Amino acid sequence: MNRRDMVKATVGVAAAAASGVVAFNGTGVGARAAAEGSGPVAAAGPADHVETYKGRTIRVAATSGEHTPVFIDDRPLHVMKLGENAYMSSLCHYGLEASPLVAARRAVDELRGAQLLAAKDSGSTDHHHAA
Amino acid sequence: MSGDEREKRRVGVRKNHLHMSRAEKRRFVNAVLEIKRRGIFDQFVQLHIQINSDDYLAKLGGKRIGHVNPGLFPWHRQYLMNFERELQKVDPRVTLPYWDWTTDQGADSPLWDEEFMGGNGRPGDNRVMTGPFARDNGWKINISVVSDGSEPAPVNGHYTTDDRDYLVRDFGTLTPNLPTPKELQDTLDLPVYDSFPWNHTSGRETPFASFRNHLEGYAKFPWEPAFGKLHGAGHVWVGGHMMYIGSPNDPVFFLHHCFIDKLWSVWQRQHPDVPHYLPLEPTLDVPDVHTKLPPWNTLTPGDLTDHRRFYQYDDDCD
Repeated sequence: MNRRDMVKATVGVAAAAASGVVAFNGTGVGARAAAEGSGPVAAAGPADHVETYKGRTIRVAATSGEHTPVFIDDRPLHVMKLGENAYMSSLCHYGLEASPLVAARRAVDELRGAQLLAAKDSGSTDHHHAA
Repeated sequence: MSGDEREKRRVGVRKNHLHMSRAEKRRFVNAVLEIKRRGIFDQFVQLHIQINSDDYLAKLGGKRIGHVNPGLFPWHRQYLMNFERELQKVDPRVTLPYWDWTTDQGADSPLWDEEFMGGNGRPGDNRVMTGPFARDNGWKINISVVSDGSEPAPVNGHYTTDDRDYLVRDFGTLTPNLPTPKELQDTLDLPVYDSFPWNHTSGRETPFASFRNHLEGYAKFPWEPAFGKLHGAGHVWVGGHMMYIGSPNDPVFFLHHCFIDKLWSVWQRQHPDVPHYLPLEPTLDVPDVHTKLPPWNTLTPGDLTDHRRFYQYDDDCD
């Protein structure tokens, strides 16, 4: 298994572990989404950083690995680490942030109340590159 | 007519949108709307999201291809050519316009006319309300939560990352100014295409040996105020979807990147005696000049270096 596959496997385990526990603050669009069961929510760990920012619940998972799972109202935010103190998210993709938490706050700013798309159980097929 | 002349006539000429007729601009917009209707436009959005996501995950193992590495210019060149080819299937006369933001600045540019790209987002939710790409005029950002592979959610085939189905723009909020001609020229003057470690830190120190990273925007000179310049500034100044991983959801993406594509060629003309792509040898994590670029696996950066094989720009010097 190369390093990239290990990252994928780790993410997969996190997603599998995400089926049960609900951790949200009971307000806002995140609560609505969770109540509708429209996507998996991840189990919060005791060492995770959780904060409310502009009414949204940000959770940055405690991790020692290269990949730090980040959630906004329990929906996964895609955060990419380019190096030390250099992160970008799917919503602020052309600048670098100092930490996953800063990237999450900026993503909340950009969402303007919108909801991230839920993660779904992954299929087994590979990518389709149609373009 | 010689074969060369015949070839030249066949090759399309890409123009500054300011020099396009009203009819040319209408044909471009109509072709974009048609491939959107056919579902082809969204396939391009999806591919950009996938490649963009892989560019970071893959840095732990496989090659980064499209962003934050030397492959930025050749990968987007092929991506834009494929996009242009789809438009030409609708209307063979269409070529990509470009947006020269060093001189064509501000919300009052003809770029943002109702008949062309449409205007800024409205206050509050920043939803675009005018032009062919306004939600109310039929342009819908398609969202998808259907998994399309084994990757985590943002990588698995989404056309976007959130539940808004309308285009968002936010001119000048996060960066008030578009780049100046001097900012661009300072970067075009750099004589080295790219350098180790071939990422967002290349060329940050004297002698600034990464034209690629300075144009992409992750390196700056000491006299420049902030990262995110040039290519990055174009994305961030428009704001909204242009700043997200699904930036091609905003059709102005293609005018912005057409200008970036042109600048690679302008730089080559300014530096005729240096390698126009680096690295030349197989290199960990990044494509070298002989690497066939995924997902197409047909052309290498070397194949893609000279754009005149494929199309021309309106001010090309022969």
